[in-house]
Amino acid sequence: MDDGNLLEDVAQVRRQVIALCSKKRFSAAQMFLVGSGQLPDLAPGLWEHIARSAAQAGHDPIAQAIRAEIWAAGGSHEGLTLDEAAYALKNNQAQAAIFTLESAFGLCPTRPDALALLTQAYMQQARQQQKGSRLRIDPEIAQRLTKGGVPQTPQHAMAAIDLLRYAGEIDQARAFNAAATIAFPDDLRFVIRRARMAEQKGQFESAITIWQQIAKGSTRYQRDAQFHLLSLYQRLERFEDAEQITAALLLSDLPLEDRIQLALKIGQRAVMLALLRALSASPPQIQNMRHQQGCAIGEALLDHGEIGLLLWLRRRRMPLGDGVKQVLDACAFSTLDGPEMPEDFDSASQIRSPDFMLPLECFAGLPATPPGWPGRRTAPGRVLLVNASLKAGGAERQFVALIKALLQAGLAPQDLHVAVFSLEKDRGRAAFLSDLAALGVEVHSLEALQVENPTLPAAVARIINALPFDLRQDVPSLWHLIQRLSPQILHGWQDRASAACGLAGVLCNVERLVLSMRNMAPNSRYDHKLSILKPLFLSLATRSNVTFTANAEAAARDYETWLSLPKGHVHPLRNIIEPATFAPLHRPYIVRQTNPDMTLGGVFRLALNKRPLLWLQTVAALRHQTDLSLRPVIFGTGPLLDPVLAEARRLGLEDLTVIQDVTDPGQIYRDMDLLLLMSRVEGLPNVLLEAQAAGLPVAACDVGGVREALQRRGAAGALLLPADIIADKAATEIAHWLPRARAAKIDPRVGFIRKNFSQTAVTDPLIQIYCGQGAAS
Amino acid sequence: MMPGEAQRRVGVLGPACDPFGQVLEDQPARAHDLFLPLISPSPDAAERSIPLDEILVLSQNEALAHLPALLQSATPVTLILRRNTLQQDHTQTEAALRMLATALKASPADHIQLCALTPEAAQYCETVTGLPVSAAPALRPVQRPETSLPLDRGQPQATFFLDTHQIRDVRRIKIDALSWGRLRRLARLHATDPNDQDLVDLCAYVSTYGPAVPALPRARRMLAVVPNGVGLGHITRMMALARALQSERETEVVFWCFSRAAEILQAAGYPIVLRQTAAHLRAHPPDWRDFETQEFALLLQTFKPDIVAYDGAMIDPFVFAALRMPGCGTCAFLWVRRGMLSPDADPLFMENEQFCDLILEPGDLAVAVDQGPTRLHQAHTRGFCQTYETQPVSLAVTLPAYSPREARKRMGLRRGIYCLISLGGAFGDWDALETALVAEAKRQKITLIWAQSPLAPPPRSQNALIRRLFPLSRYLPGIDGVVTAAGYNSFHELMLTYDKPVLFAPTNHIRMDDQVARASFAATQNWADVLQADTPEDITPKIRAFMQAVKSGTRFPQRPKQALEAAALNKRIDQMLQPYMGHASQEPET
Repeated sequence: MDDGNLLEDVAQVRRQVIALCSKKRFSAAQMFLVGSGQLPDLAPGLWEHIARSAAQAGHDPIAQAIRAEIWAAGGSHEGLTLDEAAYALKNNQAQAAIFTLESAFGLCPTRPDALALLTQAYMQQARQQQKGSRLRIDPEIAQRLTKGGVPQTPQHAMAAIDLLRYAGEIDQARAFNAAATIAFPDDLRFVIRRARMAEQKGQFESAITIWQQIAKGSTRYQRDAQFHLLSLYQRLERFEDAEQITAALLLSDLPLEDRIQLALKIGQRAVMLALLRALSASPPQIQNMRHQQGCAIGEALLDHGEIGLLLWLRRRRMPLGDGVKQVLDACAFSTLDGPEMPEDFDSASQIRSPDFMLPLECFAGLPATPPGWPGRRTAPGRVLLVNASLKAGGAERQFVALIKALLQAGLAPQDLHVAVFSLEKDRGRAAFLSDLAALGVEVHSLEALQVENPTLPAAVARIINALPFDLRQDVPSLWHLIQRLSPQILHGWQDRASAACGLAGVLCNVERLVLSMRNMAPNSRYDHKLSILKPLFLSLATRSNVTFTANAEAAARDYETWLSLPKGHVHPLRNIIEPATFAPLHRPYIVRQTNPDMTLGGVFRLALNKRPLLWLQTVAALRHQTDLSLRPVIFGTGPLLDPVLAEARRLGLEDLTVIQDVTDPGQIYRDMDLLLLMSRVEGLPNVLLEAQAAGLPVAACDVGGVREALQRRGAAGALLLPADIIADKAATEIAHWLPRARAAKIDPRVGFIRKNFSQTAVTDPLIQIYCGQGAAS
Repeated sequence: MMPGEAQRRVGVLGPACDPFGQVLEDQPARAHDLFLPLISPSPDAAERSIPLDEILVLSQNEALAHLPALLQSATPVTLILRRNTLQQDHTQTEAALRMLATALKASPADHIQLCALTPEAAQYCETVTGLPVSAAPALRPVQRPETSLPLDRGQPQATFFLDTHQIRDVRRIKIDALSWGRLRRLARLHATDPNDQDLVDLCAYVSTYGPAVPALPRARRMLAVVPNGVGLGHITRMMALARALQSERETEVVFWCFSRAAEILQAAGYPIVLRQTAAHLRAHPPDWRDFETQEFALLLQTFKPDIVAYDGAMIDPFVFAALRMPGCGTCAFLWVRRGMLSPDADPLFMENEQFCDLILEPGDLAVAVDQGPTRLHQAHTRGFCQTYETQPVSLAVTLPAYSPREARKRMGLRRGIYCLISLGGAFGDWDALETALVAEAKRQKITLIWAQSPLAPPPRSQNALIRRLFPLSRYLPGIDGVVTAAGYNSFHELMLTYDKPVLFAPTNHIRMDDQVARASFAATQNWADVLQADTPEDITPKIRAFMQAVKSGTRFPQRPKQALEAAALNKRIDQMLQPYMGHASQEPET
C-alpha cells in the first residue's frame, strides 16, 4: 500500500468516525476504528474524539471505557487525565479522582483546571468520609490547595472555601469567599457561605442580617435561612425573635423530617413525640415514606439519642439508613444479654442514649475490676486534663490556673497532659494556648488527633456509635488519646468534657476520674441540652473511683440535689486566685479611695442570666439617690449588647462605657472603685474574687456561690444583696454601705482571697483525690 | 342521652394515656360522646372517613405538631393548654405556649377554642399567651375514696397504703397502669412534686367529690374476654360465671372471643365478637395489637360494660391499653385466674394484678397440693386489686343432666357398657395409651367413645365411636366410666357431678396447669385413679383395674359436693363495682 492510499484510508476512517459520532453511535465508531486497524496507539486522536463526543453527549461510561483503552495503550495526556478525573468526580469516586490528578499533576497542580478538580475531589472525599461525624479537613491539605488560588468555577470556589472552613481556617475562607463573590456576583451560595462564616467568627449580628436577606429574597433557600436565623436567635437569647420564626416555620408546609428537626432544635421534645406518635400510628404514611425522608428522620433521632423511638419506628417498618440500622443491631435489643425491646410507643420513647447503656461496663461486657481497685497512691501518676476549648472564658482561665498550680505543687510537666476538643484559632478557641505552652505542658487537640489505627474495638464502638451526636464526636478521639497516654487520672473540666471523660474513662478503665463542674446544675440554668446527661452523671456518681467536684459549696449542693446524691458527695474545688497578679493594683486603688469621682464596674457577659438591665437600672437609681459622681463601665460582650445600650440611653446613662474583648485583670480592675454583680445564676464568680484580690469593695446578689465568694466581716465586708431585689432597693442598700466600704482598709479583702483561694487551698485536696486519699476513695 | 339525639363524635388528638383524655367521659356534657383517637387532624387522613363533630387536642405540643391542619380544619377544635411537667420545664412550656399564641395570632381561627384544666391554669395560660383561655368543664363528682395515692411522674411506680379487711397493706402500682377515670374513683390523687404543675392541675381537676348517687336499676353489663386457650376451660368457666351472675340479677354478657371453640358460646345464646389472634392472622404483633386495642376500645365505648372480665393467666396488653383510652375508663376489671399453675411457671404474669379490681380465683379441689406461683408468690405491683376465692367454678353444676336413657339416646348408643375417652385437645402423645385402652376395652367387652374436642383433630383409631359432647356433664349419666386429662374443667366437672369410675391421664405442659398434682391428689382421696407418665409399667394394670371397675359398675360416693354460691359471688361483684356506681347510675335504663 503506498502512502497516498494510506492517507486516503485514514481520511476515510476519520470521516466515518466523525459521522458516526455525530449520530451518537459511539460504540459503532469505536468498533469501526478497531475493525480498520486504527488502534489507540496508532490513532489516539480519533479515539479521543469518540471519548470527548460521548462525554459531551452524556454517555459517560462509553467515554470512560475509551479513555481507559487510550490509557492502556500509553496514550495519556493532560486533557485525558482531566476528563478522567472529572468523570470520577461526577460519579462520586473522589479517591479515584485524587489519585488520577495527583499522579499526573502532583500534590499541588499548577494547572488551574487540575487544581480546581483536585480541590473539589478532596472536598467530596471529606464529605464521603464524614459518616455521621463532624466534617473535618486536614489544614495542610486545605492550605496546599487554596494558597494563592483564584476561583475557577463556582464549584471550585465552593470546594476551596469549604476546605478552608472545615480546616478551621475561617479568615482565609472568608477571603476566598470574598473573591468568589466578586467573580460570581449572582451566585447566592457565596452569600450563604458568608453568613455561615460570620456565625463561625461569632459575628452574629452580621450573620443575622445576611440570613434575613436570604430568607426574604430566595424561595429556594428561605427555609434554610429561617433555620439559621432560629439558631442565631437562640444563641443570642433573643427568645421573642426565635419564637416568632418558629411559629412561622410551624405554620408553613414543612415536611415531616424538617418539622421533627425543628422540634428538636427548639428543645420541644414533646412536640417531636407528638409528630412521631402520629407517624407511628399511621402505617400508610410509613409505607409511603421516601427512603431519604426516613433516613433523615433516623439520623436526627440518632443524633439526639432517641434509640427507643428508632427501634419502634423500625418495628413499624419505617425506612432507615444502613448506618442507623447497624447501630440498632449492635445494641442487640431482645437478645439474651441485651436490653428489652419496647412494647409500645411510650415505652420506646423512654429508651434514650446513653441511659439505656448504663452501667457502661455491663453493656460493654468489660471484665470486672478486682476488689479494692483502684488502690491508693502516694503520687498521682500521669494526669490527663480535658476541657472543651481554650477560649477566653473564666472557666478556661481557671483551667490554666489549676494546671499552673499543679505544676507548682510538684507534678512534673511530662506527667500533665491537656486535651481540648477544639483549638481553632480563628474561632478564638486557642486564647490560652500560649500560656499552657509556656508551662511546658503538652496540649492535645482532639479534633486534630492523628490516630494510626482509628478502628475501635467492637464493644467500644457499639457504645460510641449509639451515643448522641455531641458525645459521639467527643468520645472516640479521647478514647484513642487515653489508650496512647495511659493516664492514671482523667480530669474533666465543665459538663461537656466531664461527660466525655466519664464515658471514655470507664471504657478505658482509667484508675480515677475527676469530673469538675464549674457552675450551678443544668436544671438551675435551664440548660436543656445538658440536662439529658443526668442519668449518665448519676451512674458515674455511684462508682467509687469517680469524684465530682464543683467550684462552690452552693454549686456542689445544687448538683447533689439535681442528681439526688447525699450531701457531701460533690466536693467543693474552689477557684484559684494568684495574689501576685493583683498586688500592683492595690496602691492605685488606695490612692483613689478619697476621690469624689468613682468608677463603678461590671464584669459579666451581656446575657440574660447576668441581668445587665437590672445592673444599669441599679446604677441609675444609685446616681439618682446619691450625689456620687459615678462612671459606669462594663467589661463584657454578649447577645444583649444592643438592649444594654438602648437601656442605658433610656436611663440617661449616656456615659456608660462598654469594653469588649479585654481579659487582662490588670486592665479591667486598674481604674475600678467598686464592682457590682446582679446575676440571676452564678457558680463561683471569678470576678468577685479578682476584684477583692485587687482590694476593691464588691456588691452582688445572693445567688449560687456568691455568698462564699465574699469577705463580709467588718467595714471592708462586701455587700450581699437579696437574689430577687429591685433596682431602687439595691441602690438604697449600696448607698448605705458604700461610704464605709470605700473608706475601709483593703487588707481583709486581700487576706480573705489569699486564705481561701490560694493555689495550695485547691491543689492539696485535689492531689489527695488524685491519689485516692480524699473522701471519694 | 336523649332519645333521637345523635351521639357526638369527638376526635381526640394526643397520647391515649393522657389523664385528661381518660376522664373526658366524666364531663357531664360529654357523657355520651364517642371518643375516637385521631392520628392527624387533616381531613384527608385515613381515619377521618367518619365525620367528626369536634376535635379535642390534648396539649399545646400536639397542636404545634399539627398546626397547619388544625388551622385549616372545618371541624370545631378545643385545644387544652397544659402547664409544665417534669419533662418539659416551665421555660419550655411557656415557649411552646407563646409560639402557639404567635401562630394563632398570625392566622386567626375562630373555630379554635382554648381551654385549661383549672381556673388557675387558665389564668396562667391567658397571661402567657395573651389569648382568652377558659377552664375545662367540671367533672361529675364521685364518692370520695378512702385511699390516698401520691403520684410522681419522675418515679415509675407509686407506693400507697390500701386498707383491706382491717389490714393496712402497702401497695405499688405503675403510675400509668389505670385510666384516671378508674383511678379517681379508687383513690384521692395528689402530686408529690410541685414542679410538675400539670400533674398538680390534673389532680385538682379530677378531685371532684360528692355524695353517692344511688344506682338506677338497669341490667349489669359484662364484657368477657376469652383467650385462645389450650382447652375449653376458659370458655366454660366464663359461661359458668355468667350464669351465676345472671341467676341473681339481670346481666348482659358479651364475649370477646379468640377461642376456636366460640361456637359453644354461640350455641349457648351469648352474643360474641369473634376475634383472631396475631398468630391466626400471621400479623405483625405491634400492628395487630394496635388494631385490637382500637376495636376493643370501640366496643367498650358502645357497650359501656360495668365489668370487663378476663379468664386466663396471660393477658394481652391490648386489653389494658384499650381500658386506658378516652371513653373507656369507668368500668371494673375482673381477672378470673385459676391456681394450680406449674411450679416452674414464670410469676411475672402476676404483675398484671395492678390492672385489676378483683382477682377471682376459682376454687380447686386439689388446692392442698398447689405449688404454683399464685399460691407461693406475691406480685410486686398489686395496685388496688383484691382477691376472692370461690368454690370450684363448673358449668356442669348449674346445668341439668339428661337421664341415662335420654343421654344414651342423644349419643346414639345402644345397650352395653360405654367408656368415654377424653384426652384433651392440644398436647400429649397418646399413642401408647390409646393402644392399651383399645386392647383392654376389647378384652373386657367395653365400648369406647372418643370425645371429639372442638380444638383437636379426630382420634386416629379406625372405626372408633366418636362423639362431640358439650357440655359433657349433661351426657355423663349415659356413660359408665371416663378416661380423661385433668384440666380444671374436666376434673371438677367429673369430681363434682359424676360418681362412676374415672381414670385421669394428666398432661403437663408449661402453658397448662399442674394436672399431675391435681390428678394425684384425686387418687390420694380415692376419688379416681391416675396414670403417671413416669411409671409406664403401671399403665396397663391400672387400665385393667379401671375397666374392671367400669364393668362392675363401681360407684364413688366419697367425691365432694361443692358448688359456686351465686349469691356470694354477686355480692362480691357488687362490692367491686361500688366505686364505679356513679357511672352506672347515670346510664339510662335500657
